[in-house]
Amino acid sequence: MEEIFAFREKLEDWVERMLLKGIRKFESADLATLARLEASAREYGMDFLAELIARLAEAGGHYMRDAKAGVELLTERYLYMVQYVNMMKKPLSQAVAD
Amino acid sequence: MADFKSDFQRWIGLCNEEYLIKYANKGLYNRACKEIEKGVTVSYEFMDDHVRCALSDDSVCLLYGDIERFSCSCPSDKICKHVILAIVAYATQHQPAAGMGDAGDEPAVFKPDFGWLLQLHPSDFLQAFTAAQIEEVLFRLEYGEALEVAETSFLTVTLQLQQVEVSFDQEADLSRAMCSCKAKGNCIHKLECLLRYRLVHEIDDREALQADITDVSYDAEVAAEARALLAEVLGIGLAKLPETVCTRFELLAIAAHNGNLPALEKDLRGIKGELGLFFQRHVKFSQDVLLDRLARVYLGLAALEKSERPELKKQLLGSFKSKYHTVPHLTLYALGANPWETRSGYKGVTYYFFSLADKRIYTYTEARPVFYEGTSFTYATSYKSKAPWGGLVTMEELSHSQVSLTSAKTNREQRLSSSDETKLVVLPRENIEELDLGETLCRDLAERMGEGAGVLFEQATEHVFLLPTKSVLQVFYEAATQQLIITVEAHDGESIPLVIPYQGEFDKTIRYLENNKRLLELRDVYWLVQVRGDELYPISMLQGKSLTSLKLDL
Repeated sequence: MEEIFAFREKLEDWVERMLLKGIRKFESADLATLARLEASAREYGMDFLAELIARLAEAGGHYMRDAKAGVELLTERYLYMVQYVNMMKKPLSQAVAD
Repeated sequence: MADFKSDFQRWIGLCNEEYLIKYANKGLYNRACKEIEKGVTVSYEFMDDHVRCALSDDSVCLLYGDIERFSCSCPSDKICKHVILAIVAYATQHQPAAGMGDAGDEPAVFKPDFGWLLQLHPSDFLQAFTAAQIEEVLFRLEYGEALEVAETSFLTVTLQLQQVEVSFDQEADLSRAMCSCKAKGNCIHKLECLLRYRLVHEIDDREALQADITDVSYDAEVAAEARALLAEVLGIGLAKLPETVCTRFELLAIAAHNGNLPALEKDLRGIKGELGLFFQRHVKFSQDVLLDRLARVYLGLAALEKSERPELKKQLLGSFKSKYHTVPHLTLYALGANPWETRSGYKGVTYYFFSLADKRIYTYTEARPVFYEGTSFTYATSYKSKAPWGGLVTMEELSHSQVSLTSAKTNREQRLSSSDETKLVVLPRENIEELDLGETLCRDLAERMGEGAGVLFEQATEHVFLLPTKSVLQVFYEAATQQLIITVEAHDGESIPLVIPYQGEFDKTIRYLENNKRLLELRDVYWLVQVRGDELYPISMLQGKSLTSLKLDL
């Protein structure tokens, strides 16, 4: 349980760091972080989250090759992850009620 | 011609006493029957699409096999004695078995068919009724009504609580339906009866109608601009964001207001407020809240662009302010009253009621602006003043009673209006312990506290519920925070602090509560509490039939 909690914190950290520095500053270090987060998510059996992270990393890679075309996709996928992370914080009953 | 004659005879089969009286009136019908008794006779001559009826008193009328189409040589332009006489005489001559004047025997000849009422398509209602009527009726359908359906020559639907009766003809024509309210044209009762009748037969038109009457047009340019601005904020990152961005949010919020995007307007102001806190380095700033909001708004706008279904669009667009609609009947159990004052200069008292039928809390608020000089508003005078809805009781009495309201006006937030049309009847008050309080009763406090969190800039929906408690553990005034804390014990043994912040106006009340030992003797009391942030503010105490509003009754 504690491991998952620590994992969640890592997720939140990365998400908040991106909010501060801006998505346009997405760099290869972020790709590496995302790869680690994806691996952890798979380890804990959170396949949907792993899929979200993988797709975000994919958009990140795309953005680094072509900044103009990729930013919109990257923003959208980043926000999908944000929503997932936010959902993890809420108690289940409330997430359903929302 | 043979066709017309058989159509005509089928129609005559329908024309029994009830039918004729409904379309004309009892006096005319009786006079026509008397004339026949006196010996007036009629000779009938069938034409292609009508029958010429020559009466022995020299008047001549033409019948077309439809109660609304006739003509007579007499000066009357409405249905007259002669027309009725011609119909009744024909029926008695040609269908003696039908037993004119006795509605019960007639089906042997003709059984009216009201299948058309169930075959109507929602689009038919849109033609016959206005969007406002449909909206009002859809709102009313959320409330129960005692429905009575009787099939004779008409299909009569009675809304017993409203004491309204609508009769539908067997002819598939809504404009021929007759309502006891006597309003001209298609009144809302017709629609309400029709929709309720169809609901009984498991035809639910609500979703289709709701979708059709909703205006889901919006300014796509503003939506796109808002999305671009959000992307910009996320792209640049908070660390390098210029403060001028707040102005851009405000301008876009105004554009959103004009572009029929109410939810976006509210959200943009919310984000602006949150960013303002960030720039001020305010403790209330929360990255979580901001991120959550940015994600919700951005993805909501993306969804809005893609969505086709109007009801989904409506949900994404939000609504500006909710309208008040009449609901037939409410039985309300008073839960207490709470005086308040806002920083923007309003004072008022909000009264809380529990509705026994739909198990929700309704409120009635009396408020005055106090920022003008010379305006005086005191809670005490407001509390002692006459209640709306007939003025039978004072607000104080109302806030301790159980009442029944007919034709109450309320909006989607269950706020009651002081409408003159509403009638109030005071009922004997039940014990709070015997009521089925539904979701209004708090069973899991932790869950209740979570609700409504993170809505700093949204107009928070007031969150009020009943907290059952075993006893009062402690009452003390905390000087550091300037508030009175009443610690109560829940049924599971948990101790819960209820907080009353100090206000000069309620100095006496707070002192009384602090020093009164009897408070500690209370057992099995229900508290009406309001959630604000992570604190619980008590409004009133309830037990059996009794109720005490803390700030007004002590």
